Amino acid sequence: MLQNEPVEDQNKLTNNLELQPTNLRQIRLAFWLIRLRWYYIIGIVVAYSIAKYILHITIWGLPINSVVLFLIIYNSLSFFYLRHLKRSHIRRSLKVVNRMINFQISTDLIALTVLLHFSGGVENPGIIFYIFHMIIGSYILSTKESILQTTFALLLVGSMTFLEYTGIIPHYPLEGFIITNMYSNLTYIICTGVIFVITSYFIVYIIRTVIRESTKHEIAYLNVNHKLRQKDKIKNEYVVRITHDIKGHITAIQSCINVLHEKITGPLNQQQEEFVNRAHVRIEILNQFISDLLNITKIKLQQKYDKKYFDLNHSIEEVLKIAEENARNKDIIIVQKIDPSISKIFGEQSSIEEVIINLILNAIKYSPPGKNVTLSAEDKQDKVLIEVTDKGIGIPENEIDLIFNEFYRASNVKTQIKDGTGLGLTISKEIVESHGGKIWVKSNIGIGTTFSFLLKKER
Amino acid sequence: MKKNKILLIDDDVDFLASTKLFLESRKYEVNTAINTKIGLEVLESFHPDLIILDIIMDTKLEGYNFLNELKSDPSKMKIPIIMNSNMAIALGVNMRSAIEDVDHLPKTRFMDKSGNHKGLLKTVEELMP
Repeated sequence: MLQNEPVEDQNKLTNNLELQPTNLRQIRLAFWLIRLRWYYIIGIVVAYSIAKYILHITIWGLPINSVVLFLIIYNSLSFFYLRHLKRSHIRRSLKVVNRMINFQISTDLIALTVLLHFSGGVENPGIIFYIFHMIIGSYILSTKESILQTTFALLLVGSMTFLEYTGIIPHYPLEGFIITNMYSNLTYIICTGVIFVITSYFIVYIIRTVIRESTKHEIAYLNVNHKLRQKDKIKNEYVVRITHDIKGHITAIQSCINVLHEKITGPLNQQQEEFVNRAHVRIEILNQFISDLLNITKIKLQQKYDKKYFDLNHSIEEVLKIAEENARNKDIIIVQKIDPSISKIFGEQSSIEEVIINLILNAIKYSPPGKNVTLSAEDKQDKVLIEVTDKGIGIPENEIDLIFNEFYRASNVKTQIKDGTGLGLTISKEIVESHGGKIWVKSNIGIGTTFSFLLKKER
Repeated sequence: MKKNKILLIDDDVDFLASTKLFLESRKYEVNTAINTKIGLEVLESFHPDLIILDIIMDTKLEGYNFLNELKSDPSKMKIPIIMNSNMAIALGVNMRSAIEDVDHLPKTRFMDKSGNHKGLLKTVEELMP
């Protein structure tokens, strides 16, 4: 029934761990690239306006504006295309996303070269922007792809400089800004070229090394995390097996003691009766504890709930039937305030019923005799709010945050009521949260306590 | 007055002996079986009005297999059954939906096994008023 799953092959595990974040990471980074390009476009427009209208630098507007217009259209199309890819199956689209990123970085490099060519070529200090592209490329792409992109950038800038130098294409100087004949100075070109090539490849090397190191750490962290989860699962399965075996013995002992307690085998003397009663009470507590421990462990192991649409009103009726006897024994009436508009909600019926019964039985347990308990269910558009209010002993303010912790029992109940296990509220919280809901408590010492939980109505 | 008959099938002899004694004190005629094979033999001669059945015995699904055999026999498919298990919680399935079968066993109940006979008695009385 509860079998250990075969231990995964270490390599397979590492690959899985590596693959999963890469898919999402590339999509995220592709969007980041698009966002950066918007800043880049704004930057070009601002720089062009300052150069032309404030610094009065001679600059040919038509090609610059054309590149800007091209970038706007191209970036918008990229955005919509990527959004489409994101909605399709991520695993299948990873290759496409990578290809798209490569294409975009290459296009950006071409656009930058065109811009530079029409604004001074190698004389323009904007030549440093190639470095940004190399950093971005090294961050997003693989080492091989980064080196290829860097080589492509160097070829572009090299060709532009060579063609301008040899006069094959015209040079567009930035008059009124910098010395305009540097494009024909061979020493300047060679020195700048060498520094530029070394800097470019060095940046790619540094960034790829940093990324490789951080990926190593990330994988190690994910591996450890995965192993911890596996160990926790094994521990939980172990707890289930052990507690089950213990429960079998306890049930048999309880059954035997009950025969004596019910005096089926004949009357007991006063002392015999006293000790049988003691054993009877303790075994009941122990049995409840084991049941709760099994329950919380099962919930932790459980991956899926059997969720369906069910009638909440019907569930409340069923739950009240179960609580009826406990309430009657303490002369407590369970007042119902159920919104008639609530009907079907989506979830695992037995688990939701368990939460309600837990809260109601708790409310009865911690209320003085004769003080009523209120159960309300309120329609909150797409959610349902269920509340259980008692006029009981209340929870100390500094313990409110601890009350849902495993095995925690409030200090003021431990001495008065001995049969709590400290697991009921933990179980309730686990169930509510795994249904996408939330549970909380408000309490005043000596006045009473309200436990509330919100559940989604729909899937 | 004719007593209602209960067949108790469980592999725990102590639970079997004590629960038998308890149910007999509540005026039921009780017969026991240590596994479903013996249970099936007793069933033929005893003709119980209700069966209390442990789920996990020699095999994990022994109780279920027995239940299925009853379902397929038209003369027995109407006998009310209480499915009793220590593993109720740990089984990790919604037991109620697993055993609810309105066509064949309209009176099937599932219980978390307990040595406190109160809950068991209540269910027995509910199924055999």
